[in-house]
Amino acid sequence: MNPITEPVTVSHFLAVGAVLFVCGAVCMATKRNALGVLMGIELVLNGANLNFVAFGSKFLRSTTIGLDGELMALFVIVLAAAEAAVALAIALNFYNNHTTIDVDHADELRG
Amino acid sequence: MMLLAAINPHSLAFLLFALLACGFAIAVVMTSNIVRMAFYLTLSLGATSGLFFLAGAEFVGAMQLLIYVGGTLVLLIFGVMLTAQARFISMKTSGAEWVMAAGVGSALLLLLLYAGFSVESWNKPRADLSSLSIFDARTSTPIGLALSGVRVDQLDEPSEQLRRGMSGYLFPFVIISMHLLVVLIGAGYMARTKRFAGRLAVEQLAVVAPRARGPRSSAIMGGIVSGVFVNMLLAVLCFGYWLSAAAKAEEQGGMSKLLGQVAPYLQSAADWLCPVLGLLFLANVLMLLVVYGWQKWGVVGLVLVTILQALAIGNSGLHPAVAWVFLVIAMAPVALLIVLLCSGPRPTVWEQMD
Repeated sequence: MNPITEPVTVSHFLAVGAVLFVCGAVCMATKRNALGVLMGIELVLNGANLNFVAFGSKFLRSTTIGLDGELMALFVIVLAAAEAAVALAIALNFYNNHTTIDVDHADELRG
Repeated sequence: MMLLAAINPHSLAFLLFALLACGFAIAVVMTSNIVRMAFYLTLSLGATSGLFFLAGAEFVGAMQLLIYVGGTLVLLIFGVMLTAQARFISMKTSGAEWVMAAGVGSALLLLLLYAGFSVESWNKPRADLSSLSIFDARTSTPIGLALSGVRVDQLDEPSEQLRRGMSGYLFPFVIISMHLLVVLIGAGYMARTKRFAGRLAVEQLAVVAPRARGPRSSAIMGGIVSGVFVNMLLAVLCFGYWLSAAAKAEEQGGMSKLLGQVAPYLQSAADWLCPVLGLLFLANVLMLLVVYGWQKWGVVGLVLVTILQALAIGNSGLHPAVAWVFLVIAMAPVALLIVLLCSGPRPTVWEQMD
């Protein structure tokens, strides 16, 4: 399993994807700035993307999910762009109305 | 020299990009400065695109750089710049939240790593790597054809049934195009600036500032502390009686005499009464702690728990009078606590609670 001398496997990619995913999840949970939460979402999506690409790669495994992995990754990238645009618009709207970007203050609908 | 020859350049590049991606992702979590977070995120996603190139997904890697790093992140950085007031640049997270997040995060990480390394066929590199050439990584033409409805990479699929599902991605492509259009119009509509709203909100914000609370009187503190002790004691007694009764069913004797004396009176009660009462007493302890934390619903909870206990006693087969006596006796301290909360110099403790 020496990562320098032995060829890379799917598991190595999965490990990197897991680290990115967990970092993103923790980032979403702990940041108080709404934009920080958005950045956490980007990290989570990237971790998932890395797994898709790793499972679709011909260079890592002989039986792969083929082109589907890369196409899924592309769709995720596009959806992430759309999500970021909408979420940013909401965040800016919130900032304009409340002059704060702290998600802890975004509890106007609280019962 | 031997070591140098043994180095796998592909693995070395993977290690470099993986360390960059993971390191900067951790830096994003660790820093509390939003501008630095944006910068670290850019580097982390850039390194991830390097990993895509290494996995042979050249087109995805290029799109990652173009769309993600060049588009989405620039959008985020604009958001950071638009909201970058001094008090929002660096927002600290409390220590308790860090501890909880670290616990959950490390558990999730362990699970994912275990899952990633546990499957045999994911663990082994491809044996016939030399049969592949660099042209196997040029996937942009198959991807483009797949998006227009033709899967040129699956033409030799032997299974007739599987080949039918290989009709490409034209429909998802159309849907996602419409989705992007709708999203862009919606985002543009929502992000319009409304200048007049901002000033109003500043005035509102000043009112919402956290208020200072006066000290609790010694009578209230005494009530809460003694309530916690009494309820804990009653809960322990209930559980103790329940456990000893359960043990008695197996072996005779060995129990304390006190329990032996009480037992005949409780003989007619259902088996579930003691554990239920014990749990409700524990709930009372929790409610008292909530009251200590300036929450009004703790008082409501105290009343509800007492009524629940009386209902449990009334329905357990004991005489109904026992339930009424219990209700009166148990309500008295609760009422006393409410009176204590509402009396005293203004503003009373009750008025200061959330």
